[in-house]
Amino acid sequence: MNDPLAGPGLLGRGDDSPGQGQLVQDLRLASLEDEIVVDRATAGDREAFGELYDRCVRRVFRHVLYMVNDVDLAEDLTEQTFLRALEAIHRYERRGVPFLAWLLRIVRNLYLNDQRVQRNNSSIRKNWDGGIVVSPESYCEAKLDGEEVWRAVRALDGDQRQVIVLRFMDGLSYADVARVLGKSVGAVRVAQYRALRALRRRLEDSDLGRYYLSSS
Amino acid sequence: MADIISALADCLEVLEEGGDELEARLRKHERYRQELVALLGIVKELKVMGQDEELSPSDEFLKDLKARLLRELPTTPQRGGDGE
Repeated sequence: MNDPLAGPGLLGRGDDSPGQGQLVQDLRLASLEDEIVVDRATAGDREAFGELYDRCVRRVFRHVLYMVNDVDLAEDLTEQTFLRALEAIHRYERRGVPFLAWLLRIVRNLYLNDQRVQRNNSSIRKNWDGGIVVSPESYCEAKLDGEEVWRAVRALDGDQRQVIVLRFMDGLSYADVARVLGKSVGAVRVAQYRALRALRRRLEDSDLGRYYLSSS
Repeated sequence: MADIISALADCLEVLEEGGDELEARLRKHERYRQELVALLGIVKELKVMGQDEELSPSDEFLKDLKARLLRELPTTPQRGGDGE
């Protein structure tokens, strides 16, 4: 059967990547394993905490980088996230969410705090929403399609960007995104649609997007 | 708008399971087909970006942070917040 999403470049890439369902399933399995490891870490087992750190740190960093678009700030927030996690880890088991989702909830709180501080500060953080010093797409190897899409993601407002990153880049389920954002599953679905629609509009405004999206 | 939101969630569910039945699911929502295909195409691209393993902090950062965390790991449970 023809792939309805098959098309040039943007729509045709990623066929060899694991499905999002697999990703969600992996998260669930990881969640069960995490609970055992968290129990050990809570009891002061250094090796266990190190294991949790190794499993999650790159994904936390990537999530933060997608949100803030600044490598130094992403490292800073990643560090703060794990330090907070260290303080609060004994509370994790009662949340009933994947450890990664719990960490991303901490990220969200730190991110919102940081934005509040910025708003109260007259000085604007260099390269926060303006020109990029190092963007996710150029941090590794620039990909034309990814760059175009990333530019559109970056232009979304904070909440919409977070829904997109949590759902499709981090691979979280609706329920876990809802927990991270403190919203209902229904609200997440609405936000997901609005964010994707906003992305589509932005991509349609670009030459590349017009080419890809008109092929549908 | 509720219809398209449900249709999108419906199609995403199929896409997340591998996308084999996507065409059939799109036929179910023929009225929104064009928009759904465009939105699902964007989702596919986002997923590719999200799985970019090369997007990683420096080894030095990872090593230093891990060492710091292990140094500060409490031997007994402590009170703490989750950033709120």
